Amino acid sequence: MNKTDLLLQMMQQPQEYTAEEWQETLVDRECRELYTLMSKTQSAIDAAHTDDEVTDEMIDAEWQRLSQPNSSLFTLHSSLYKFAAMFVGILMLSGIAYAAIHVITTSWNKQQSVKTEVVANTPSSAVTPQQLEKDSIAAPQHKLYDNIPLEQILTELSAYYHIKVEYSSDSVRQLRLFYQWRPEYAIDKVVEMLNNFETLQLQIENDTLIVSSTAKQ
Amino acid sequence: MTDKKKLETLFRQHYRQMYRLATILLHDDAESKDVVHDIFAKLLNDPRDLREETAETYLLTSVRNRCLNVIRSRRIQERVQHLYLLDIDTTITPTERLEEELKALQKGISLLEPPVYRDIILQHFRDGVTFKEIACCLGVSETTVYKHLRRALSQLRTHLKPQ
Repeated sequence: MNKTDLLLQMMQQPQEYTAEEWQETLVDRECRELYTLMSKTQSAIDAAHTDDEVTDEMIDAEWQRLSQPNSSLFTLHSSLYKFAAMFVGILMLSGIAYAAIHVITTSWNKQQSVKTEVVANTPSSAVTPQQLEKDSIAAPQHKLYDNIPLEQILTELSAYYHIKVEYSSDSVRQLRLFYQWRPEYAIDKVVEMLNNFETLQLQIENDTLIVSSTAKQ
Repeated sequence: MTDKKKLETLFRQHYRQMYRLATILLHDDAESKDVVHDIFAKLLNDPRDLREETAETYLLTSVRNRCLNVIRSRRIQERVQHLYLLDIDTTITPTERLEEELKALQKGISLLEPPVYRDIILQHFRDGVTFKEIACCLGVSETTVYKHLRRALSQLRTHLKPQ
């Protein structure tokens, strides 16, 4: 079975595969492209269907729903979204908790998780490479960055690989990525993988990782 | 005019656009309705951020941000299940370009050849029929359906302008 067939098969039962298995599949450029095209095809079909679906009656009904804030219908079909929004809201109250929840480690012990929180919430200048290196050496396990700013990912990885990072634009620092890192990856492999993200361009020059964005400003 | 009356006017004026954008990002009717609902529920309580001259931009940006929050709160498996875009911060294009792409894809879907490609795309993405069911219906293997799907998507790709 080729890799895109595997992707299509996995997409039939996404819950049966782990986050790591998804990462391994979606890091492949061809698979990502196929997935993205499917996502956009779904959007195109949904958009065509909403043009017919939204009637004046539907808009009236939705305004009525707004005018009756205690409507049980609202609670019923928005409960999932509400729960998610509330959850995010609670997390946002504490930057530490928010950062920690997204740094999912598969074999990372409690003590090291605390260190990750500190790293995630301290200006990069306050964290010495030695500290980071110590953490990395203490826990050379693979690590899943789920929706984490690029700058934070590269701060950790640059300490591990003993390289500097330079950004050609500030906007690129805040790009949030889903990325799985393994300690056995050479830096070239990391650069190659990160270059698979759209709008992101990385290259290594004399122990410095240069990060730029290919997005039109 | 009272604030509520003004908001009702804006609601009726921009509902279609807002709902459409939410559907494009979330691929879910009920959740899209809730996104628009929640934005106006908040504005009914506190309309201070809203100015009439920038209302459209404000409302569409609110939809986009709320949708991104929904997507971010989901695990990767749920994102795939809903066919959300990956790397949402880097791949969600500006609204105008998104609309262009969607139009190009809609045109591409209508031009798919042979017709079985179009049938597979519509049955799966519009009607929610699984690939396994489509394979059964056509009397072919799932792998054959995948092959047709890949070729159909490859034709659709040609309708998208390179970035």
